[in-house]
Amino acid sequence: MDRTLTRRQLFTLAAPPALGRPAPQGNRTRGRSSAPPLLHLLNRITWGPRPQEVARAQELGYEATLEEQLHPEELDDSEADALLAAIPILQLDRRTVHGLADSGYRTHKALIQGMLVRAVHSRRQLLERMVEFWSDHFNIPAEEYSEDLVAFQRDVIRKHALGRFRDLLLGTAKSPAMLFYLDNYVNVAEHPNENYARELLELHTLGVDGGYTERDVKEVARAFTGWTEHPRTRTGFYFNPDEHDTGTKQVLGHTLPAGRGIEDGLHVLSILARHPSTARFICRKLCVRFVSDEPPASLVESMAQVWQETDGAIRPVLRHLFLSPEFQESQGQKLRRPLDFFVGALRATGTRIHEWWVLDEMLTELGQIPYGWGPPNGYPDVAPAWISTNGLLARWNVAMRLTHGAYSDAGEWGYGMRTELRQRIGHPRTVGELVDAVASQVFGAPLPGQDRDFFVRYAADGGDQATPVDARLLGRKLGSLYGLMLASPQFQWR
Amino acid sequence: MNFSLNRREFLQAAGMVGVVGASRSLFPRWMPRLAFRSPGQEAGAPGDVLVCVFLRGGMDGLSAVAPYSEGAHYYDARPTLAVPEPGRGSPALDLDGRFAFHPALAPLWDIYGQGDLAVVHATGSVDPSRSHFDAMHFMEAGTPGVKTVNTGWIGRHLQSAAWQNDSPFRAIGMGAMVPTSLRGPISPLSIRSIADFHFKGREDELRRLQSSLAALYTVEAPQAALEQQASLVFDTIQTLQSLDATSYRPAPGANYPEDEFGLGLRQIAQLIKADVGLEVACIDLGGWDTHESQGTLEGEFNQLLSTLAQGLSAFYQDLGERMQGVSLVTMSEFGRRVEENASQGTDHGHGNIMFLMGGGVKGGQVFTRWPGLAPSALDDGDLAITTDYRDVLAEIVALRLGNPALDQVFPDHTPTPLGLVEALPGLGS
Repeated sequence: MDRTLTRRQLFTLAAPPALGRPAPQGNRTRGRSSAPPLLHLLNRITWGPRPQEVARAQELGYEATLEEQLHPEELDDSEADALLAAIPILQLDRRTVHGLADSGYRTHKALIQGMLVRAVHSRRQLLERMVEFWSDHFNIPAEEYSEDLVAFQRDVIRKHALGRFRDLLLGTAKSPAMLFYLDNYVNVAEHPNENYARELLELHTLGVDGGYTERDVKEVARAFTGWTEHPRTRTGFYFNPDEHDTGTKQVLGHTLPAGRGIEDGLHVLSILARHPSTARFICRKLCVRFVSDEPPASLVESMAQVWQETDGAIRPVLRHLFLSPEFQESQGQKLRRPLDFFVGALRATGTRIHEWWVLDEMLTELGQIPYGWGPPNGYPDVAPAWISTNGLLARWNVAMRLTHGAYSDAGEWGYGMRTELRQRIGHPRTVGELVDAVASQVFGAPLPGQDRDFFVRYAADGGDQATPVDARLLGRKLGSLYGLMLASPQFQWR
Repeated sequence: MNFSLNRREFLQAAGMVGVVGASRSLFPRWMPRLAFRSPGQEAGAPGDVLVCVFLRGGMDGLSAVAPYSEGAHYYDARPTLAVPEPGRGSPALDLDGRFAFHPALAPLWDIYGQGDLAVVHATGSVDPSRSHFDAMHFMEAGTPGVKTVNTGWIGRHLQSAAWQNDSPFRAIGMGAMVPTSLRGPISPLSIRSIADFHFKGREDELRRLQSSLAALYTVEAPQAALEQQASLVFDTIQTLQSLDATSYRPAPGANYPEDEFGLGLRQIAQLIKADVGLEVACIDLGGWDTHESQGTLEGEFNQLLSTLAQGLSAFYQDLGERMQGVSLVTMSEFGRRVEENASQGTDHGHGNIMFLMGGGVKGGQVFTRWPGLAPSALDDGDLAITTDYRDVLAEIVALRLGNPALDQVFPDHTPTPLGLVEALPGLGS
């Protein structure tokens, strides 16, 4: 059966609109470049603003919205909490988790489900975005390490995501997940293992150009000898003084005197946490995450300054970022990574996937599974890494699968999931109202002029926005209208 | 460019409708090539198809092709990991009195013997970085030590080549993401599965949806990167559909490993044979970062090496005659340290091996200016590099792919000729 169209045929069916005026690469401002600053903020600190979030933000105003998100502990989150109650394994202590039958599989699955539940349903969106950021920064794949990732996520990443970097860093250094993943648990005086030391300097703190030498790597490795895992301590961390190299060490110009124990490692972490290269390295990464792939040096510098002044307090640094003029000028410049796309699509459609294999299939197709990145540098965060034919086709197909089949609730495409497409749009009487209602679900607000016209023409089969909406039109067009908007270039950029 | 014929229409035009079991092998070879050639242009790529296999993680070349003749320098450094000396009762396969294949490479033994497989040893990227990410970037960008280059050596080769090839299949990366070596102005195709590469959805709205997507992404005249990819998606689906890509059967005796690597190689072979204008294909095999419990005759390293060998061997079998027009090369971002570590593994090293396989390869030998494993000859404890990997690749690009613009492919580097391959007829050396 011929499912594809020739190029010539494609263009006789739908006259191409004047969409997407060619924009220079890397400075694209898509249809929503005229979006108000508040919507831009929400687009970046959430996975896609829900209409009720937009309404609340408009009431509070820009700064108050930001503050609310910077203090998630004061924000009621009962909807997400209720859903998380169905994944109790995420609350268990280390020994219990390890004692479970099939612990690897169950924790791996729970971690992915937990991440998605929070990303989709939590009101504490900025917290969850920061949890994602730190999970990438301190990347540990779930494959092989999922049992220990439960505590890593709960007690280290989530606990300190908006706190102080030095606390986060210490937590990661002592976590069994990290000790195992980067081999520090076998880093002993007689045979030092440099793996953790190297990644600590290169990826977690200073960055590869941060001004350390191979000598520093070796000395840092010595400092962490004896930092290992133990099955019977509460967190699984254990410092073994017998395996520790107590000689004097030179790290980044500092002398670590001889005869000390765990203090060596603590001292190194302290040096790294307050090193100016660390401030710059991480602030730049935050800018790449939240501003643009090539962030303005001025912003990185000013953020690094705030970092240094507050000794690595994450909230003030973020506040500075989101209140900066550079942030305001970055609309439409960040490409949604596949997970961003997926979570955004779930939020827009209200989809609940209740068959695990359906979820697994779509995540695999899209090419980004939570905790699925092997090397310690985390999933890449720039557009060229994610723009690919395979990736784009996958997004289109997933967009159609979530909206088309699910809406009609018929056939294989809708299997294993439920959506709320119909429930969310109210009672639009015309195609114009329909398009606005769907756009509000997908983009947080109705689309501007020409973009809107395109979807109106699509929904009205060439007609105009006054075309009346009846059950038949909804049946034919509602799902695919959602699907097209999710598949559109406008949704891929934010 | 005429995209409008579907397979049935083509067969009809070629007078083949009604032929029972008209299979793809009856599909004339010239048709798809014509489709991608602009009139008056050079007739497509003159040389080999390049297949580039990147072994990610730092493959242990000293275990794959073991320098057993180093004696104590090898065996004392690797008390548990050293590959046994070849000889009576030993599973290792002696190549030339100096080096031996790890037993897992047995599937490549015949190919080596037939002269279609060669090894280059003590090669790699001269940059001293032992960081995976930096080393991979440098190697794929083709600019060791220089971080500011964001195109890949293959991307630059495609751009600088004297011929035109508008096929969407010109450059393929098997997998979800595009490898750095392919980055450049020519958009490569990233594909995980040929069989799955099509639109999915409900029949009734599918045609209208596709045309709407095409309009949204301005595929007729794509400007920005995302739109260009969209355009490529449409072209690719169109072509794959006309090829009936799902009914492929490898040649008898070609037993690909049943994993993503095997599937990837198999699809590359399929596309080569389908004559869709494929010039370059890149594929990864990861997992080589064996810091712990590397194993020798059994274990992780052995598994990976088996997968590699079986894959390459199946690919060779599958292509048969067509292997004459293919150059396959393997590389890894660095080798591993000579001395094993305390966890029966190896840490990041330097010098490594590369495999070359293809009709033009002067196979059956180990090319190397062997520095030896004596401590004084090592580079900070690692096998030294005496052959720049760019020289290996440059020779393939110039003599097998037919692109003399090496200054663009490997800027700021003057390659040393190595005599690894026969030049294509008509090309000098």
